[in-house]
Amino acid sequence: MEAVLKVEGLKKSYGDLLVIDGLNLELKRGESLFLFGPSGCGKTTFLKIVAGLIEDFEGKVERNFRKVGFVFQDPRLIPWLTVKENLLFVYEDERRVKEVIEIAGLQGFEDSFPRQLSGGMKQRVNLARAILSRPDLLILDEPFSSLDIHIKHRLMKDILRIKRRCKASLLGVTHDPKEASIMASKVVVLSKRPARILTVLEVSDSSEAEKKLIQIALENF
Amino acid sequence: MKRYLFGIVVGIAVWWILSLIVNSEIILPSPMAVLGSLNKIITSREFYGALASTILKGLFSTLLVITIGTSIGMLMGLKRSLSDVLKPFVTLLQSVPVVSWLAFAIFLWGIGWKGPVLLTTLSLLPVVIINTYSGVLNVDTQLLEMARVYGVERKKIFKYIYLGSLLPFMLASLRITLGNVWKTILVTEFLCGDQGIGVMIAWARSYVDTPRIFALTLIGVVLAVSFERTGEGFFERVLRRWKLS
Repeated sequence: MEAVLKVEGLKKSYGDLLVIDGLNLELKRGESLFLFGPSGCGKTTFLKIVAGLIEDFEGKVERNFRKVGFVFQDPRLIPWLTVKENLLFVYEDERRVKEVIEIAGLQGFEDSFPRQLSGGMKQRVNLARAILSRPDLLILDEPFSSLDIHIKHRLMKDILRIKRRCKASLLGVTHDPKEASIMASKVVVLSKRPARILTVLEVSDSSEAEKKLIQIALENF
Repeated sequence: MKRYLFGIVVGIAVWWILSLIVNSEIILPSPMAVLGSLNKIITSREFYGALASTILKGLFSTLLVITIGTSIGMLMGLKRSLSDVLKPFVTLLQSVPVVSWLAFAIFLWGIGWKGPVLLTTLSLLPVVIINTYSGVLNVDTQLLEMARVYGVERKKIFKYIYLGSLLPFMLASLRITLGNVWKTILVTEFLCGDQGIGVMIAWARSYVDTPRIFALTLIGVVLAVSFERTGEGFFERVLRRWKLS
């Protein structure tokens, strides 16, 4: 199968601080790959490199996707625009916006302002914005970390449903073993900073995978 | 409201008693003398021309201060290199005393409306520049990064992210300017004007007509307060519609 993303020998440092030390990985089309590692190990930096926000790094990053949708850790909504206007800001297509509002379960909130929404609803808008342009790669930067468990699980299910519907590949980072084991078909376990690959885990049974990840985390992080 | 009026009544009573003690029209005229002067002023024809002239100068200066100050502040915020070049000039502008500009304005135009407008604009400009500049620096970088990820055009970024976060700062600029412009206009008219309330104060001073100076000052205060109050109501409405306050 074709690789949406191919990373070879990726290194990144901020000044003298080495953050990522030689990362090799491949994300195949339709796959869901999660990087699992301790907080502050350079996961977000990696995502920013993939999204093209950081341009100075060593190594090779081959991007074979057309469009990328980025679900940020915090919703990053423009406070003085309504939900609908926030979506139109990144993608000017009224019909598509309406469609996505339905997909993300935001009907009835089109004209609400971000401050009128709960944390979970804001993350839905964040997600809706990411899928507007029908991306073939969806990037998730710990989008569940600020949500309570109930909402977290619903949102995870929604993302997986949307992923199937849009036939997108998923690339996410997390430090939560449960999140990784539910969301991913493949988990890449990273070390503490500077990030190196410790092991790669194919997920077939999510509760089994979760146990393994917890063990790895206890031993290494 | 009742207490407010009570305060004014007490103030006037104290003023009246003090004027009785001082017993000199030149140093502290009585409220009645000032009221008499005020009556004479507002029934004269000359006053309305002066009032209109002062208001026009004030509004014109406000317009200049806001447009120039906001543009410079924005450019400084958006272009790092430009802000490095302009910062010393802003500091300079802030610290040059009005009288130095005065000499310059008089050599250039003599007595007239241009001098007061220039002096007022120059003395209020730095506040608006700095205010706008810090507004641009205050723009949420996370929102800018979001816009970059989705490849949003620069024009839209400017309109929805920059202008949106600048609006409260621009309103604050307008409010500060409208609150201060009248004081400054009166002083600059006094110094180099040919018409206006400030000029009337200058004449009253040469005739040592203290009650008239008091009455004109009162008019200046009413002018400032009424513009500030009207402005305030307007700003609050705009901000409420902007869903920020």
